[in-house]
Amino acid sequence: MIGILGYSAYVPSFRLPRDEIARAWGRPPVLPQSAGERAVANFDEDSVTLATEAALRCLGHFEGERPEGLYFASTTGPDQERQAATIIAAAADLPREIRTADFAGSLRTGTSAFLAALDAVKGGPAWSILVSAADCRLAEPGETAEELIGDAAAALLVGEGGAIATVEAAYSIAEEFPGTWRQSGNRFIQSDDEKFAATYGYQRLILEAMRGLLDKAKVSPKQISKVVCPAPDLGSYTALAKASGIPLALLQDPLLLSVGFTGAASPLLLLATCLENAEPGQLILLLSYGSGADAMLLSVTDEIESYRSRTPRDLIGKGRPLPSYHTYLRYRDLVRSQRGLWEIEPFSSLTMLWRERQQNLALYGVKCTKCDSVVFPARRVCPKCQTKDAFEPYKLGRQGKLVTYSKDRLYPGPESPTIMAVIDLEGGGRLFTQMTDCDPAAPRIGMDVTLTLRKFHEAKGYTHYFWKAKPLRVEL
Amino acid sequence: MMSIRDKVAIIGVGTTKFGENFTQSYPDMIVEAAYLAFQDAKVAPSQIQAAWLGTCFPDSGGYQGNAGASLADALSLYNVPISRVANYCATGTDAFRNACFAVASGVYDIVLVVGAEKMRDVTPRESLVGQLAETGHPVVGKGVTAPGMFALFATRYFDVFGIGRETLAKVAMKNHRHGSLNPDAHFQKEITLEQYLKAPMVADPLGLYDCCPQTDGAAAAVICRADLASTFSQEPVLVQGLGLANPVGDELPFDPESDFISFRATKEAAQQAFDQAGIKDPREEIDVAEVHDCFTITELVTYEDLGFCPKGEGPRFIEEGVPFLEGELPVNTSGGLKSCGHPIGASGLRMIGEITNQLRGRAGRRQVKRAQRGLVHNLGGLGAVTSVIVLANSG
Repeated sequence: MIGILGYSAYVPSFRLPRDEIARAWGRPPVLPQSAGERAVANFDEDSVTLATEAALRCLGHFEGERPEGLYFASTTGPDQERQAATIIAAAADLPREIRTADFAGSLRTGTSAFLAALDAVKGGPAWSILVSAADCRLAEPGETAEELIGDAAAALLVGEGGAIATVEAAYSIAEEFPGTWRQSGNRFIQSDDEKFAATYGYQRLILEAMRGLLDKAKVSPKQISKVVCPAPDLGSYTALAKASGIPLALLQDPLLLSVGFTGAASPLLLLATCLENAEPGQLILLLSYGSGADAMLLSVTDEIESYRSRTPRDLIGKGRPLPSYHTYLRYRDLVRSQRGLWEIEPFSSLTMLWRERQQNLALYGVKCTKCDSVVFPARRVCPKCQTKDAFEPYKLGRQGKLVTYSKDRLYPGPESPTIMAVIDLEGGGRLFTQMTDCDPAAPRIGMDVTLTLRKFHEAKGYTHYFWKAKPLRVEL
Repeated sequence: MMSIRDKVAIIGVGTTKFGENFTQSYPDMIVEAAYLAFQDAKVAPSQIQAAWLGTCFPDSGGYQGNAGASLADALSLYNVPISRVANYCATGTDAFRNACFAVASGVYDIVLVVGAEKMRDVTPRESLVGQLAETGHPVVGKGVTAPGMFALFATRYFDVFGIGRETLAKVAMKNHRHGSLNPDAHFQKEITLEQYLKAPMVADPLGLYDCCPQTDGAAAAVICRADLASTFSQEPVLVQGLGLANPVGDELPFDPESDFISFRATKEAAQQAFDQAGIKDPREEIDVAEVHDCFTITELVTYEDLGFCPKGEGPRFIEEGVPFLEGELPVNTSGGLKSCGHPIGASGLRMIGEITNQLRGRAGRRQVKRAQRGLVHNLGGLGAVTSVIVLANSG
């Protein structure tokens, strides 16, 4: 049985209330009835780190099973030439002999990657492929889209055997349509006639794909239990719902109020939240839009219950309010902060980073075969027993306890204070690194923390990723 | 192993004014410190047979101090061999230590040691802060400044022994009081508890008055074979012990055995020096000490690591007034790094100068009564290296 084996989501910790954005620009919020909030990635997050977190969460449900491919889908991959999927695969400690690809170019790219993964599994080259979609899109400050966008990631493990949902049919349309776009070199999305885009783009193309799919699968709309469809804004979404004839109760919450429109991640994120409550035997309609539209018909299997019984709930989390709109601008590097993001260019050697790729991305230390000492960073002579070259690579755990910490207001980082933490890791080894997503009042000795891949800096114009610690549980 | 005890004597010391020496260049300060030491030792530069230069961060001053050549150029001292020594903040004392071994070997009779650091030809942020942010591993351990590292100790020490910033304030207030008596100190003013508590935080739990400033300065010593000392000086000071330890290197924060309440490097370096000097009870046998108070927490932990008091008794040691000028075992009579400032390579030699003057009864208003034996403690990195020196007067 080919289909979805597992799913996960990652929504960053911060939420920016929409009325805070509106207040900053002296206008009412775009969604006046219940303005809600949007998810905002921390200053050290980008689509790669968001997708990594989602990928690690998904793989965490499949101990010992490693996918044979990793697809990354995003319109905001940080590099034009440096594959994000490879970085994520390295961070997930996947073997080198796998297929990797970045899918980009359209908001539909999340479902494009999903479909490509299904084809790869069906065609036989891979037993399973992890698809991780993330977006961290930027609208020009002051544009209404800035309120509507949200940053998030979602991952699906697509493969054979034990599927929690199978894909019964798929239908795609490719049509060049000027909805939203972004030229290379431009940080901000662009759009033109919004009414034209909403009706002749979004609504017409999604309905065409939906009808095409239902005809192809010979399924009547009445047989559908849930419809998953991204909502770029509330008006387009309600108009689409009305035009489609789908009862509102069947529509999966598009998370517009709590997270925002999460771009390429949106169809997979909404599908994940839908699967959280799906019943065996139900049919789910997954819709996706951008340069055309994709429609997919999924059938939920009996496996869903056992999957949910062994995985954690609360995919989205509550988040914490971002202090201000200005903080959002600072996190996205849209204003020159008092302590500019890259005020000082740190030393780097890309040769060194390549040599240490297993250590720094997959987070390996070494373990002495003579005295069992776990040592990080790696070295050749054991500091405990002085044996030379008796180390073997040792995968460090991602959870640990805080030994001590400091809150440095002098370090010229983008966020002050920079919280440095010493962590005893589960399974051995001690790590000294920055903390993130952490209220400066929160650290306590003995506190449980978990490691998350983050952006450190961009020396040499090359994004440097490494692991930071964040509180395992956030006190709200 | 042979002991270094009583083989080498200090016959002259010299220290520039420590501070933001905007009118002086790096070589200007070297000249001032070296000639003060020559004058004190009553020797001419031509009598010097070899020299050592301690400078830790040449990058702040356009690479001056990266080699012995910088000392040769400053003093036009081209006819003797000169080595540059760098060993983090223990640079000055390690330059001295290497020079002592050269003299003790009998190869040289009389040599010069200079420590110098020009930190304020650039802004404070470009100085040590910039160095730490710009250098080091691109990602592993990235994000530290010196106060950020030592604050790891303060956080843990506070937690384990249940003390707070008020205890650190006592160290800061003591060293500021001592510094007010030192005309060469960067800061020569006392501070109140209120000032301490109201000052901005730098790296919690360390605030402004827990930290030494960015300072320019140079200090020098002329040393010679102990058996020749009396031909130069009426009051030579003898080297009784030289310890240096680097038991954990730069990996202290990654070492699962680090307890963040004590520095193994200090304990081990002190043991070496005490063994050489024949010291069994440092609290009783040391009369005056200059210790490395880069941050107040470092001084507090150092009381314990040097054996001046048991583990965890540092707070009581200061609260009872022991390390004050009028106390039983005065610590940092110069005002320490806290008041003098910390031109990295110069600090160790400044400390040696202070103890030398204490042992010769020449410390003026800061003079400790009946100072026979003194200690210098210089710690580098986050306890990556510590040097401990025991000096005694020849009387």
